[in-house]
Amino acid sequence: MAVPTTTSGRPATGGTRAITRRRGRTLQQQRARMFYILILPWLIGFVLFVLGPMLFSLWLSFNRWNLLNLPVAIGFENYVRMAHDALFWQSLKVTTIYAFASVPLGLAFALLLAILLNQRVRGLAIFRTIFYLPSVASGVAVAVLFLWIFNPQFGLVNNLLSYLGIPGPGWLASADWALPTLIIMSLWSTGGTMIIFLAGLQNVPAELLEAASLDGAGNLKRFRYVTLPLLTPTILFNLVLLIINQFQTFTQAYTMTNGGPLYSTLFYVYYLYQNAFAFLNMGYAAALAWVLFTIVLVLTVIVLRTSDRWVFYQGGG
Amino acid sequence: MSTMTMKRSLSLGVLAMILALMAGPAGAAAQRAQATVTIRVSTWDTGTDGLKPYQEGIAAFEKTHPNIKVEVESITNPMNTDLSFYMAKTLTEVAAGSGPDVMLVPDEYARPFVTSGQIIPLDSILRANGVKASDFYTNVWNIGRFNGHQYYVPKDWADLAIYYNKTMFQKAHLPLPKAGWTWSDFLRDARALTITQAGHPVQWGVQLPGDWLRAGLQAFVSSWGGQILSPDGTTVAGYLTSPAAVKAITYYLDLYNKYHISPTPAIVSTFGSLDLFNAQKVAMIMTGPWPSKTYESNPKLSFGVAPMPVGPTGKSVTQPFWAGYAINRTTKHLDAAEQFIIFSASKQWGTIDATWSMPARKDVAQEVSIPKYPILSTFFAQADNVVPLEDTKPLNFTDVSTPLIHMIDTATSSTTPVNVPQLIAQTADVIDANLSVRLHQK
Repeated sequence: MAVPTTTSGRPATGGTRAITRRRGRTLQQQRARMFYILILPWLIGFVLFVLGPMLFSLWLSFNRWNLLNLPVAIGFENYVRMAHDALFWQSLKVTTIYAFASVPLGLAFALLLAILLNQRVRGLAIFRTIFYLPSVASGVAVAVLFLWIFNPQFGLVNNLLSYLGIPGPGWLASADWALPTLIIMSLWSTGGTMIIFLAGLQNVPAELLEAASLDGAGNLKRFRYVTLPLLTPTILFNLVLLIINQFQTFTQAYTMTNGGPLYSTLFYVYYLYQNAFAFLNMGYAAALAWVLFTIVLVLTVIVLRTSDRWVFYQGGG
Repeated sequence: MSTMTMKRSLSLGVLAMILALMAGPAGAAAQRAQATVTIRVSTWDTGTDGLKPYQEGIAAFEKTHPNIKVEVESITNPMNTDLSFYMAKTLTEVAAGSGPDVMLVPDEYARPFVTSGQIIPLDSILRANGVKASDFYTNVWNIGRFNGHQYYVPKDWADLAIYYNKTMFQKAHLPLPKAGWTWSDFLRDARALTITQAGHPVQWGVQLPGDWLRAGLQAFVSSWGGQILSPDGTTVAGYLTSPAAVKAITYYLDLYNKYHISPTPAIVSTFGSLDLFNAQKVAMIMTGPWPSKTYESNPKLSFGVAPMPVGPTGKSVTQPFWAGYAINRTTKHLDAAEQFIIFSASKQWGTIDATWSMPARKDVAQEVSIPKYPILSTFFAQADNVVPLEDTKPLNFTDVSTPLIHMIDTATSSTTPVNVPQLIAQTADVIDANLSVRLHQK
């Protein structure tokens, strides 16, 4: 039986395989072409503003450039130098400690807030706004605010501690306390993470929770055996996003501590910035950027690869 | 709509969008070509107050040069008082080939710009337009001089003095600081004015400059008659490590660690941009003329300015601060840029610019600044005691400054006694290594 065709010769049914090659386009090819046309603006932007500069910076990392003279090719010298650069290792240490401390803390805190904001209470919308608002405030404004809250002489925290008879530490003025202070500060911007958790919580089917409570599970058991497993894709998403984000911390170092005291808050991106614009070592800064990119990429791949051991997808995974 | 028409209109739409994006800049460029010549001048001055002298000066300039328009690029970062943000933006523009025609350059970057050939020597145009070095404070004019050529016209300058809070001094029955006072007088006053409550300082005798090298370490070293760098800027051995310099730095660090008369750099940075002298938390502050306007307009603050104390050499010396205008080699409007540079050296510009800043021209200083702002008289009176600037000696001063800043930070936040000569020797080794690397790169 012949397949009915339209006057143009193409099959009238939406077959995905070419029955005839007249006019040269199957529906799938047509759709593919439409796809590329529609994403063309984004693609152009990506190539011009992301891929292009990335390739330039890769090339730059094999040169020495002080922005004033022409770049000079030096091979792998920048990368070799990095291995012997004590400040590079220090900045890596600071950033890694910060990331590995603030990410679990941030996730737990955001999850806790999301659970609280998923309860049936009056004025829930207002509470959700209030808890999201801090993450919207601009980085520099927040930095100034926290400089004051944690000021060792006249700040809010030490003032409150003094009422309890506890002599407050030097916070950002102390080489031991500066990084922990910034880790505490990172909780200010958990609003975004919280919202995503909220969405995840609301995706937990009510029937499952009901079934669990019918089986005699209390709140904690329900959370542990029903909610949490169903939340694991969201946790994974937030985890990857947070890791990538926290490794790129810059504002706090730049506006609050200048990497001090004594390099205890020398964040990687801040050190990169210093190399680029204070020491005029653009090539070295580019090399630093690519090393960071590689580290974050490897970490992300590790997290994603090991994720199927603990992430449970509702669709059957 | 059929698939064909939908496809066609979509393709046309995308094409139209791309064309529109390209047409924008082209249209603007066409417009510019028809207007008069416009030159860009970059600066880090900001705000309505900071930019007012520019607006007035440029209005005067454009009146006498009707075919030149001047655009001021004000680049600043309110959170950081250092100029790395300004330099980052300006250098990026220069590297992209779209740098300003006339650039304001701070003293610590004066040398890299010259050695890279990015700015042009001004000798011939200065001579052709009758600009005389003798009109300017010699030490200030010469900062813009490299290899026998004049590359910069000084915009203004500053030096270091000590502000003191009159109310606090009178309350403590101390004589007010005046010219001829020594570092012992200074220390005695600062100790008497440091007040602690429950082991916690609530008022410090002075806010020392911390790791701000020019006003702190360098000021003290020069007061003891020393220098930190060799004349050709290639080494610090024998200079930073000389007995005079070691004594000066030890004294400076003792002020922090032994006498506790000042908040440490770490503590000062926790106050962000708050001025402790203005907030009356310190009785003295060692700095330049920049905050005088703020202090003058504070009704609760009664203050005076004293020259730098006399050092062990028997002389009172002070450090210079400087900014200069230079012409970018890649300017497309050389003639207009030259006209602007000449104008910036004129008495007219100096007079307009003399709002709380210190003009580099002697006539403007005497006739305008000192009568109008008596607070500045102490700063000008030290003009003959200004030491030569060491920041322009090496190829890139950050090779020297970064290890020294770290040294001061380490020494002032140490909980155990510091072996200062050893610390200086270690830092000197690091600096010399940096300098050597940079030298062999060339």
